[in-house]
Parts: sequence; structure tokens; C-alpha cells
Amino acid sequence: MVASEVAFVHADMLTAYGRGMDATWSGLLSGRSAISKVDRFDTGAFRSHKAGIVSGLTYHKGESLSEQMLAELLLEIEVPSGAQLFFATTKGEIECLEQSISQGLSNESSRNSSSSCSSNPTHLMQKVGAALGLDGATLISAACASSTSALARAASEIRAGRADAAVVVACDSVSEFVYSGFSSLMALDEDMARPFDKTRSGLSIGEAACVAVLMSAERAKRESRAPIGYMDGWGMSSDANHMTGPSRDGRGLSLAMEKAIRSAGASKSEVGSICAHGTGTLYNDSMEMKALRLVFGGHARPVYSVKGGLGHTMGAAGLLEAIITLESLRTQSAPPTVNLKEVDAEAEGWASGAAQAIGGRYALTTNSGFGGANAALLMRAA
Amino acid sequence: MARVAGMAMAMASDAEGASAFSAPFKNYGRMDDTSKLVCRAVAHAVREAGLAYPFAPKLQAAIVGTSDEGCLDMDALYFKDYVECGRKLGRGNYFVYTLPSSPIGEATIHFGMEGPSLFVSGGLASAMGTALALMQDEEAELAFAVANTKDRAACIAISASKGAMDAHELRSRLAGAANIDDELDMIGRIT
Repeated sequence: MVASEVAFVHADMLTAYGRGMDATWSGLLSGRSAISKVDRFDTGAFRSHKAGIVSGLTYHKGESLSEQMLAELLLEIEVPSGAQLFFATTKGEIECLEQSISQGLSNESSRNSSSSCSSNPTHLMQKVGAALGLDGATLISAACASSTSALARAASEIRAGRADAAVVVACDSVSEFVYSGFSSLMALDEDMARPFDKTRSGLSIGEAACVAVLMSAERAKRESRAPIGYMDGWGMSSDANHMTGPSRDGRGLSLAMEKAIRSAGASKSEVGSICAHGTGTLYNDSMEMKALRLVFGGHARPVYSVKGGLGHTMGAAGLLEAIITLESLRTQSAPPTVNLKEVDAEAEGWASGAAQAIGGRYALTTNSGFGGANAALLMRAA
Repeated sequence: MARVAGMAMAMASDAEGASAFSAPFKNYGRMDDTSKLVCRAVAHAVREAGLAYPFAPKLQAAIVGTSDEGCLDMDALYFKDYVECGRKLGRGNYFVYTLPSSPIGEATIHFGMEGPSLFVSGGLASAMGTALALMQDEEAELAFAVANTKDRAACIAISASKGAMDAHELRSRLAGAANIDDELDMIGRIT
């Protein structure tokens, strides 16, 4: 059997910059951050008061944040018949649990998947499946590499011929639960995330919902679905080192990148740019630069992070950044790393606060998360 | 071709605790109950597979976890504690375990597994299917599929060549189960 090429035939997103690729792309190119003051819960006790918030959402009233973010995106998908659904999130509708506990109720109602609001993420997945008319959904959760891993799994099913279409949906929201949690770990920047900056001091939480339809190139051609790009390789790894901190030497992430390049049958010299995880924490960004040097040696190429612009969207970050990577390939430009003013010595010659021209047949996009999970995808323009 | 190299269960009621591990487990005491249970099941499966650990160099082994409720207990514990503390400071050591993938993250660290680690829905058959796909994609040379309820956990070690049972056949049998409890009953009968 000849392995199928994996084509993206649809992609959409809602981020703090707004709806659709154009809003997010132009926001990043403007160099202006969409991270703003949080007003949906009290941040008075925390180190930071800002996040990448999608405007117009209601909190603890009616539909969950994730449902509100996904509503329009799901409506506009032309769902391929027989497609598999891969759903990625870290916390799903966690505000259901927040409400139950805040109101002094038993948390049983919030975990019961028969109630309208359940903090069990499989419940949200079932609602997404019902909205799309798809059975056979799989929830993938791998911390902040959740949707990167979901894309890898979807692409694997297509390339192996076990499926010829997949819908990948990802979302995570800014809730008091996650905000207080990251604050407790002292992981938040007081102001805004400054990935790869010498003075960086933490991440900014963000929220987003994204969708993508993947198809075998054969089916896309048969159904006249024009590819917007391809995913030719993927790799996943674990640091096997620490629950919340990345390995200092970058070995784990480098393994994922090496696998992604190898699985595409590509050479490292063909990789022209990298959409990095770039959270803005001291250790993550340092680890990533070490990993990039393990893979590419001293051969610098444009590296950027979108998290100074729209925050760290957790389980949605991988899919969001894969779609941005396709736009970067299409326009042959890497967006500026928003809030990067003074490049850290480790990132000198790689990351920039200005847009950079890119070359190469491929672009890598990478994510890493708690538990030491890493994932990398190798993307190609249509 | 993929074989079941080892298969084992751990019960929450067992008093074995950290003695289940053949190497010191530095952080065992601070882990949540699910992580303890999952890691014990993995330790038994590693032993059943005839492997010695910690793996040095680290092993290209994948681990795929599954459960019906993920980390809902820890979610509730974390947020209740946060509310009871006046919504000023969450407890970081609770927050770390509010991800469905946290137990398998702990397992990768203790055993030294550098392959993919992820949580999937759909029970043990789904976790085994993902593990087999990861091996087929050459993401890992060995894989562990682990499922848990509150009371028990089962872990299946899958190897490319070693073991008496066909891993695909076991997966097919598990796919006929109604839920994770039934899957674990099935594994209990086999082990």
C-alpha cells in the first residue's frame, strides 16, 4: 500500500485576536499583543492580571466558554462522510466544576456526563461529535501538547490507510481554575509573556478554539477539496525528567523533532523555520533553543512564538500553531515574536521581534507540556 | 506483528505502596492516588515483561493511558481547597495532577520512558489501539497501555516480538467489553 499524503482542507480558529486566520495573522504581524486585563474573575491575589481573552464570551452564565468559542467554528465545517473526530483539550468545561463548588454543591453534578454542563472533557467531546454528526470520537490529552498529539494521531490514521478523513477540534479557555493553578506554580509573567526575551519571566494564559479537516490527498482531489497545506511528518516524545519543568538539555524535544523529520523522509536542511512552543518561561525557552541546536547544530533559521501575542492556549496551542505555520509557509514569512525586545543570547540569530522571511520546503511546529510530553509536526505548503 | 509481553493489575486496596517498585520512587508520597495506582500497575507489567528498570539509557517506550473520569477527583480537590483558602492561592501540588495525562507523565519519569505519552478516551481497547499505531509508526519500540478506575488499574506491555499472546487479538477481545470495568474484569481473568 502506498502511504497517503495528509492534506489540510479546512482550518479555522477563534483567538484573542478575533475570528479566523486573517485576524490572528494580521494581529501577529502588527506586533501588538492581544493579551489584556482579565475581568471575568478576580485576579487580585495573583501575580498577574492579564490573559489572552476572546472578547464577547460570558462566564458562568449559560453555555460554557468552550461551547461559545466552538459554536460558529463547528457550524462552518463541511464534514467529510465517515471522518474520525479527534478532540483535544486539557480542561474542557472546567467552569462547570467551578460553579458547583463555588455554590457549595456536590461536585457530582459537574462530573455527571448526563447533565448539561460536565467537567468531564469526554462530555464536551460528545457534544462536538453530535454537532458535527460524527461517531467514534477520541479525546486526546497530553497537557499542552494535546492538539499537536491529536494532529499526529489523525495524520497517522490517514497515512496508514485506516481512515481517509479526520476532523481535529481543540479548545481550552481562561478559567479561574487554570489561572489560579498556573499562578500557584509561579509560572505567570506579571505583565505579558515575552518569549525568547532576555528579561522573560513567565507565561500568559490564553484561550482559543480551532478546527481542522484533514484528508488523504486522494480523497481531497476526488472531492475537489483544495489543500491549504500538508502535514508530512510528526513525532512525539517524553522528557522522562520532571512533572512541571522541561529537561534542561532539550533532549526530549529534540527526539520529537528528529522523529517528525525522519517520518517525512525529509532532511534537516529542508526545514526553513520553526514555530516554537515559546511560552516565555525561563526554562522552556532555554530548553527549546538547546533542542533546536541538538537538531540543527549552529545552523540558525527563523524561530518564532505566537504566545506573546495571544497567550498560551494550552491544549489548543498545537492545532492553532499548526494552522499559523501553514499561513507562514504560504506567505513565506515568519511573524514577529510579539513582546520580544531584547533577544536572549541563546536565541540570538534565531528569534526576532520583527517579521522574518523564510525559505525551505518545510516548517516545524513544536509543543511541550506538563509530564514532559513533547510533540513536533512537519508542515509543507500546498 | 505485536505481542503482549506482560500484563498486570494493581488494586487500590493493596497495601504494597512504594514496595511495588524495584527502584526508589522519590516522589511517590506526594503523588495523587490515581498516579500511584497507575504507576504500580506499570511496575507490575514491566516486571511481567521481564524488563529491569530504570532504563538506562532511557527506553523508547510509549505509554498510553485511559480512564472514564480522567482527573475529576483531583480537579475537585484542587478547586475546593482553593476556594476554602479564600481564592487566594491554589495548591501547586494538587494542580499538577489536574491533567488526565499526569499519571502517565509520572510513569515516564520513574521508569525512564522517552517515547510518546498521552491519554485517550475509549478504554483499554482504545489505548491499546493507539499504542499499536505508535509502534507501527516507529514512534516506539515498546508500548504500555494502561487503564484505571478508582479501584484498580491494568497495564499491558506490548512488544514487537516477545510474548505468547497476539496484541491485536487481545485488543479485539477488549473491544467487545461494555466499559473499562468489564475490560479490567477480562484482564483479571487472564492474569
